[in-house]
Order: sequence, then structure tokens, then C-alpha cells
Amino acid sequence: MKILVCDSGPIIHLFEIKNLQLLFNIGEIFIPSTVKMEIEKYLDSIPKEFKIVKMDEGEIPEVERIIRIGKMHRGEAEAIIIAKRINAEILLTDDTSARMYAGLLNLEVHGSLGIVLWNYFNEFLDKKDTERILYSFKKSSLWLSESIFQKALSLLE
Amino acid sequence: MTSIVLNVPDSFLSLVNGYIKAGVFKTNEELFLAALSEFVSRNQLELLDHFANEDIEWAKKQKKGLK
Repeated sequence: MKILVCDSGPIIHLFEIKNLQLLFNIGEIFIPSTVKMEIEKYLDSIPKEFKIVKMDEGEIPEVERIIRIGKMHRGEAEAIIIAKRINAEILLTDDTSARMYAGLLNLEVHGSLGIVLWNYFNEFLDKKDTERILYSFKKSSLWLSESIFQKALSLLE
Repeated sequence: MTSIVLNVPDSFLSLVNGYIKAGVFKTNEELFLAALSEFVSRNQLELLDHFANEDIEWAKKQKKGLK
């Protein structure tokens, strides 16, 4: 089973389109305690599948440094540090700064679109449901350009 | 962690050292990361497309059983 760390972005975006469960098909999802606090504002309850991870005292200066220099939120910075600590296979985020920075640290990073398409290609979603989800993204707070939207639709057989 | 070597004009280096001496940045690395953040801010839409394309390629590999 894959070990993944996720920040608030994909959780909120998948919640908005009522498909949060797609996350758990990929693997075990670890989230920093700050992310838990952030998503509590949106979700009625936190799914028990989320593994909540607290920051170690010694990791705080690095988190502060990433926030200050990388122009990131605390949840994103903590997700990067935890992904490194637990040797996560994948970091899930939709934030460009977090994705860029995590890439520099040799982390494999994917976002909400990747999560949906992963579920399609692994047959957790059929073509009809995947199409419906991609159209739902247009009404969510996730930004997808029209060319990417069309490209994603064209993959579905 | 990987180290990189950058060739920069002497005038640029003295500017960088000036910023570090003034406490704006603690190290050269901090300055590099700040520049990267600025690049992200200025190229947000292009990067979103770039990363979305990465996601698409990753998902396609799942189909082919490559990963």
C-alpha cells in the first residue's frame, strides 16, 4: 500500500465535488495536524482513514523557514516536512509553490486531477463518473485551464 | 540534498552578499529559494498547466502498468 502525505488542497477540492473517498483508493493518507485543523472548517467530520501526524519540536524551525521563504501556508510546509520524515511515496498538493519546493526535495508530487485520473486508470471510476467529476471540478475552487480539461476528457475511453 | 554551482557576475554577488550582511537573507540558499517563490508567483498559470500535465502523464503510466 502506498504511503502518501496530503495537504488541505486536494482534500477540500475532492470534498467540494463529493468524492473525497477517491483519496483512500490510492493508499494510506497521512495529514499534518495543521491540515486537520484547516479541513475541519469544511468537513462535518474527519474521516477515520486519515492518519494525523504531529510535527516534532525539532522540525518547527524548518517549517517556519519554508513558510517565510517559500510563501507557503503552514499546512503545506508541514506536509512537505512530514513527507520527507516518513519517506512518503507521494505528496498530494494543488499548491504551485509547495509542488515546486517539494520537487526540489525529490518528492513525487501530484494533485487533485492526478488523483481522479489515477482512480479512472485503476478502474475505481468508470468513464461516465470520471467525466462527471471532471465537469464538477469546473464548479469547484480547483483551477483547471480549458486545454487541460479537454486533454483529461480525451483520455477517457 | 544536491548542491548547484551558479556563475554570476561579481556585481551580482556583491549585491547578494550585501543583502545577507543586512540580514534580508540568512544564506545564499535562502535567496535562491526566495527567487524561486517569486518565479512561482509570476508564472502561476503556466505552472498550474505544467503540473496538471505531469498528473496526466502519471495517470497514463498507471494505465500502461509502468508504475
